[in-house]
Amino acid sequence: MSEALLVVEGLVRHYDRGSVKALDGVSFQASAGEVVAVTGPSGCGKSTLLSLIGLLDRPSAGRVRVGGLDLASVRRPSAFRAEQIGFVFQFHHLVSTMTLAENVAAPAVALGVPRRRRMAEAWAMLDRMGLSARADFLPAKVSGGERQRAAVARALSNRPPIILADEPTGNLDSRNGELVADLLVRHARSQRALVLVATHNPEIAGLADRHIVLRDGVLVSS
Amino acid sequence: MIFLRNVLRAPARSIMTIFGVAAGVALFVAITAITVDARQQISSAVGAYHLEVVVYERRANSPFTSKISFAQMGELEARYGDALAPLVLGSHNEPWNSYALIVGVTPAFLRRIPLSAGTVYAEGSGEAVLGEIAASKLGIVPDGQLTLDGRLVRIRGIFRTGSRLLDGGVMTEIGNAQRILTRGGAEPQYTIAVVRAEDAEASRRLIAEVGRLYPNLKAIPGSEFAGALRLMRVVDAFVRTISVVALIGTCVVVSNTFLMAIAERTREIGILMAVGWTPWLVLRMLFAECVVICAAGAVFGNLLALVLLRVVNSLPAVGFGWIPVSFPLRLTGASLVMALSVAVVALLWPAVVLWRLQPLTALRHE
Repeated sequence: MSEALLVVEGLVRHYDRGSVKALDGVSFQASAGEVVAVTGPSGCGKSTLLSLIGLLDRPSAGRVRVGGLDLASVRRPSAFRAEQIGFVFQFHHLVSTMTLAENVAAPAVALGVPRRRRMAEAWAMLDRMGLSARADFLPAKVSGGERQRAAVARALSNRPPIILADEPTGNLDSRNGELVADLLVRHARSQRALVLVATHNPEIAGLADRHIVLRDGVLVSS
Repeated sequence: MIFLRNVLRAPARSIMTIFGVAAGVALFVAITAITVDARQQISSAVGAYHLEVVVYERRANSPFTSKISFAQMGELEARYGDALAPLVLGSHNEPWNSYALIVGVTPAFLRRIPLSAGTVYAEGSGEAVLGEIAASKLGIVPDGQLTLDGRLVRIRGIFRTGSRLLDGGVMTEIGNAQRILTRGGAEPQYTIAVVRAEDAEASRRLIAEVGRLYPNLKAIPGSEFAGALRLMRVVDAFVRTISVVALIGTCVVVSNTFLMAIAERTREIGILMAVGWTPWLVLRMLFAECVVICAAGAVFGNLLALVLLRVVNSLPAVGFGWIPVSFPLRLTGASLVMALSVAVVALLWPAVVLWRLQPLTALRHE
């Protein structure tokens, strides 16, 4: 088994002074190149887990290590996210006044990549997604499936080692859902990236190498 | 051109904000133009008449309120002879203009005035010469007639000094001017005296002498006359206050617009932060939008100021030539700097809001 890229130890997240336990002592490891499905009923803590790993939030207790780096020691979460994490959200979350190409290039802005290079790379990424004809379109002018594929392209654009996908197919029809799931799996294999997918969809979960099941903030099986 | 698309995503709000900036800029430009022009008009009048030294009442707020008595002018004439020219200045409510400028001059002084048509009036004739701007507005030519203080006066010539203030008025003998401008029962007086000096050293000696011999009078170089007047200093302070108020008001308008923009785009800002954008990068994007709005407001503000000046200039209550109908390019430049300053200051509070925004909270914003 390859060395763990992601190590989660006793992760806890409380809200409202401990009255709400979104996560309660979750521990697991995952390696580069793996596709890990995080499943469980609504409100079990899937999104919270991804938020903590992606440094969108800080845990109440416990540790997350990425490539040996303790996330508690990260002083510049924005830079960490730009370099190490790719997010795919359920509702694509594209910026409405940016074209698909500009949305895909957005993470590269954070890394200070020159405009010409980042736009060229964005176009190339959209081409791989079969979206080159739509690259100059605003999100409102393309279909839901195309938006979600563009969102996947954005997540992959900086070639981050970890992709966090929160219900990436939840808002798509089955055909587009399969397309998106296939993109994520192929990226994990080809780039040796760790892909964590929070999902209700059993077909998507079926593509994963491993399952993590949460219930009421507790990891019940891995 | 993401920032342009963002400006256009709420067109009504952007237009209203641009108009708010334009109103502030127009107020600043118009008032400053009037003040700057007033100084320039006084200075150009001084220059037109080669007024080396101007003697006026020390406590006077403006040229029109200075009063020098007969006796005192007599002493000055006895001391300085032909080098000295007394002047009577004032505004009078005439049917053809509510603030008609009346200037009373000596024959020697009159010979300094360049005429663009006609001739000068004869001494003791009771006639007058009219400024080119006033002649043009009233349609009067040499040998035409003009009502002055209820009497018809023949206009012998049309003069042009280059000073808009003077060229909108009428020039006549000192006695006539005193009669027109003196209220019933009051003793006729002079307004100012202008003295020729051979050189700068002679000017300095003369100025010191007047200050020593006549405590109620003050003598200054003609080039400093505009700045020395208390009224001009009051007007300067007023203009600066209005400019600050306009700046603050414009900042509030723009700041409010961008606070609303952040509130509406909270989720989008959360997305950008989630993919690695810092609050600084988001602020940079907002700053570009703010500069577009403020620059557009500055351009429209300058156009609006031109319209304002022309409208005010055409009002019957305003004296001929008292209000400029244009302003120098450096004032346009100053208004652009003002607009850019607004762009920076207006984003201070939105910047605080951005720095406090947590990415997760922003992502979940409805």
